[in-house]
Amino acid sequence: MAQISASAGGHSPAARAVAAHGLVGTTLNLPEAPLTDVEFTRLHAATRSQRMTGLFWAAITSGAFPVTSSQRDRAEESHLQSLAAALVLEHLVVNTVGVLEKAAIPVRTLKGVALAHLDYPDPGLRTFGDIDLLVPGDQFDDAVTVITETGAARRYPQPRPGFDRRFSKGTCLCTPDGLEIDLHRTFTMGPFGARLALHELWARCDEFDLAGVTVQALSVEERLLHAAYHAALGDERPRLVPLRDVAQILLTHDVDMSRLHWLMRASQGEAVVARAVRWAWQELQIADVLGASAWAETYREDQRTLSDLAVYGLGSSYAARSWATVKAIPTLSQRLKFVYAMTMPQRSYLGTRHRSQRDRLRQGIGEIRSLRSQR
Amino acid sequence: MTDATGRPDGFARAAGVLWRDTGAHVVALPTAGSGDVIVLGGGSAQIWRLLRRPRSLAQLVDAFVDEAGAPPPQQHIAAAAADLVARGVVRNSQVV
Repeated sequence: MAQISASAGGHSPAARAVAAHGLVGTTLNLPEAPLTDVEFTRLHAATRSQRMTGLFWAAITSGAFPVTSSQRDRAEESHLQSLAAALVLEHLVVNTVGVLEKAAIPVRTLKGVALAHLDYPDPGLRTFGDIDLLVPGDQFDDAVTVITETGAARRYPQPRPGFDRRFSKGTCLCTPDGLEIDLHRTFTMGPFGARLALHELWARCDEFDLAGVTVQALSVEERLLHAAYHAALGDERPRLVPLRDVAQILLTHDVDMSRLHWLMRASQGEAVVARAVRWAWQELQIADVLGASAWAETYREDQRTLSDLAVYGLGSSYAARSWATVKAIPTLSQRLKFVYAMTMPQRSYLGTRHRSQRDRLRQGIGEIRSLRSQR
Repeated sequence: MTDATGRPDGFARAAGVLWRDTGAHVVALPTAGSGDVIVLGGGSAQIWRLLRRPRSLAQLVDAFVDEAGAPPPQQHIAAAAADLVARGVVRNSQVV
């Protein structure tokens, strides 16, 4: 058996093997005999929290992961629940894309829904818990308006009018049924979101069918770029499914590396993609060497990039990411608008999180100082 | 064979159905209906799989023989197919 490297995300070897199931080149091994019920319960919980019930079920039904009959029933039950949730969300995609297109607002589906249909051999392998849609920044406010007209409501107001369409990652809208629509202007908040070459994302697209409706998604290199941003910056500790997404795209598509490098350079995102690919290859223990994995292994970040990456890591905060964003905004006037909105937000934005603008400012400065002292 | 509207004569998957197949069950959501998810198992799931192309009842029975060897009685298949029609995941152009 191949030696298992340490997990950057703190995941168990069995969870990592499930995440890598069916992936060409992985050296991770699934258990050779049924787990004890205690072990199974722990792994089962991990597959649900990591949204990989599809990979778990596929490993079981292929015979690669031996289980008892009751364990099989539990795995299928949770997978059926995940699939039912995925279909309800796809219905929401169909309806939301419909109202956006009716309003002549271009839209690209992102993450789970698009990846399930375009990058996995069976969409049931990739489940998801919300929907993510990308709209152009200059039509962001219109998109929020037409979606709220369907009954959905913003989870949080924007700091100042016009902030979303200029600066924010996007906003989360909740439907009356409790479903979430993550409406994106860019991939992520912070410096890497601010530097993203947004116009490049709209140059072309891939399409897939949802219940007879043609839905647009990013093209494969742009999807890989987003998968990498999500895997490397989305959580303080890397989650397994986003890493699987990165490996899945690289190992199953003929990715145009010149296009990918162009996108990375235009977005100053080489360090993000390199980190995501390195983590994916390490966490899923992939032995195959691709051009992308060889490049990622030798890529070295400069000091400024390391500093930018740190604001997405453990111990960072919203304030630290916001402060780091200022340096990535290209013009002085835009920087001033951003700082004004962040430091003097409208009262509705403060909500229950801060007693006053002064309280918010004091807390934010404290968080930034704390991150700097940790470095 | 087609009906008067040019659609294949017999049973076919309804338009606008979102679905996944676990191999043991089929999970489906007809977008034109109530928005409820339904889970199909056993013969119902098998009928859904066989309807990857439209089939008459006789063709469905023949396909059961081909794939399952020992098919259930024709009236059971007809009842299961009619149930799928009632649940909005299958349409039957022979039924007006």
